[in-house]
Amino acid sequence: MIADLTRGILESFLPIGVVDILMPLLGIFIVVNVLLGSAIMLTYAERRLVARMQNRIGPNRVGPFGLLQGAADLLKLVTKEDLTPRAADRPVFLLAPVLFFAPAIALFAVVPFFRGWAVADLDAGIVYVIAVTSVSSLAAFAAGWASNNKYSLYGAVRGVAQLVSYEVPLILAVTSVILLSGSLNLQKIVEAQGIPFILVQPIGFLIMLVAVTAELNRTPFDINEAESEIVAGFHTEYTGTKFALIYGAEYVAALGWSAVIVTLFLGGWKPDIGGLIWFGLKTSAVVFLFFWFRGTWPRVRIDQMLALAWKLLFPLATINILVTAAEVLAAQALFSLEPGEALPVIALAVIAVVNIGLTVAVLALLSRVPGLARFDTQLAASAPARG
Amino acid sequence: MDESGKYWAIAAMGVAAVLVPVSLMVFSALLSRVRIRPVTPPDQEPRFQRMTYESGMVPTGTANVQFNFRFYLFALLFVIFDVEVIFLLPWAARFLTLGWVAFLGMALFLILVLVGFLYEWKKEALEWQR
Repeated sequence: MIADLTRGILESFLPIGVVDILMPLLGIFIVVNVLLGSAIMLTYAERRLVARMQNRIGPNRVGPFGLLQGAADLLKLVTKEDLTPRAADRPVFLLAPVLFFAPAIALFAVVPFFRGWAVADLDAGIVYVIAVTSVSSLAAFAAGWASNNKYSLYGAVRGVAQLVSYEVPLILAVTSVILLSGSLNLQKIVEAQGIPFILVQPIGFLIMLVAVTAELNRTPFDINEAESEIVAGFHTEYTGTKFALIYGAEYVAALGWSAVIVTLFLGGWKPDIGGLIWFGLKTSAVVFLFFWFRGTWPRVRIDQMLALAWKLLFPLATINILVTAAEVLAAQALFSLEPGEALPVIALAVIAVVNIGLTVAVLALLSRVPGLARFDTQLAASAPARG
Repeated sequence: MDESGKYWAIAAMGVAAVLVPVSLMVFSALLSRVRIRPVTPPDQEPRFQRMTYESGMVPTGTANVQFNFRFYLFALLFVIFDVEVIFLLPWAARFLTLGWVAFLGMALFLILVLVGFLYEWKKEALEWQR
């Protein structure tokens, strides 16, 4: 709608060929700028929210309510002296922040912001998302290795192990959504959601949420930058502008993954009223969830982190795919659908009811598995009885 | 927009994505030209200014050491299962059309993968400590 209007205005004084080239560039310009602005605001928002959760006030001095804190921090970091350790591998050390930042922004090329509009509405959109985000493991390792610092190296190898382990359940959770929608195109996945897929695919959503938290290195999976163990992990040696880039990239990536979760599970731009408002609200809600995790959970150990990925999420996600495929076939038989016909809302609703039941059963079952039980009940069992 | 136009848009987005961090770094480098950002000349540099950080101690040895071999094991696991996962994507995208035959084929494949996975589990390849 807005896109058509802009196009009309541009076409009134420019040849159509030029407008065809100009329109995507204009879109990219707006998307990138909005992203950078929201990343700066998110650093402030996280500090304020986590402060409230910890019964503190948080930054409230720069500007009204401290709103300009993010901008002030950026200004401070950019004007700091550029220090590269003498032992560092200079070219790779310089390259790593770019490797962090670029994929986080490039991810937004396929995210559908409105009905029928994304920067590039690729048919293999979700494959592009997976491909682009996997660069971050390379960046973490480049940063850790090039710093030539022991803390950085520990952070880097931990980070790579984590990113790589959680990529498998993540893609498997995405696959269960693709099964239901029958398309790799993000726009078509949104259109297929007569009911948001969080209801149809609750286990897939939970797996995706855990895996994305790990991919973003956010608490409880921040073992690669664990400040109480290894100083700052892979970015120990980074200062000034380069640190600002790494720090900002984490927030841009958090926004990007939240947008992908919203697209896959929460119905994307639906309901189609008010344009970007719904999409923005849902994305903010998911980002808030990550902040909330940080305010709530302690950090996991590396063996717990790997055990969670390989012993729980991977088999669960694989079985989930088989169950979902069987349900799709059953729905096709039950509602006598033609092969290739999209699942109607009523079929999705039936699958949703079955899957929510299954999820409750699985969660009830998992809480009885030794080692996965709640921490406090374990403590209570192991503590000596008091007389 | 036709398909090739989309890939041009992707390329433009990629260029923009690289340009943002690079331009910020260039900008802050220019700030030191106009003396807003401090620069220490190499001959006046304090001895410890660009030393590797090691909690305030003088660093011992290099950091390019061999790390725990278990990390390799998990990298290997990742390669195996990621290939499996890539195999799943085209199947899932066309599943609504393919029907029962595809389901049985993929179920067989996934069960084989899961059996291999259980074997690895049994062999304690997934344990951090043994």
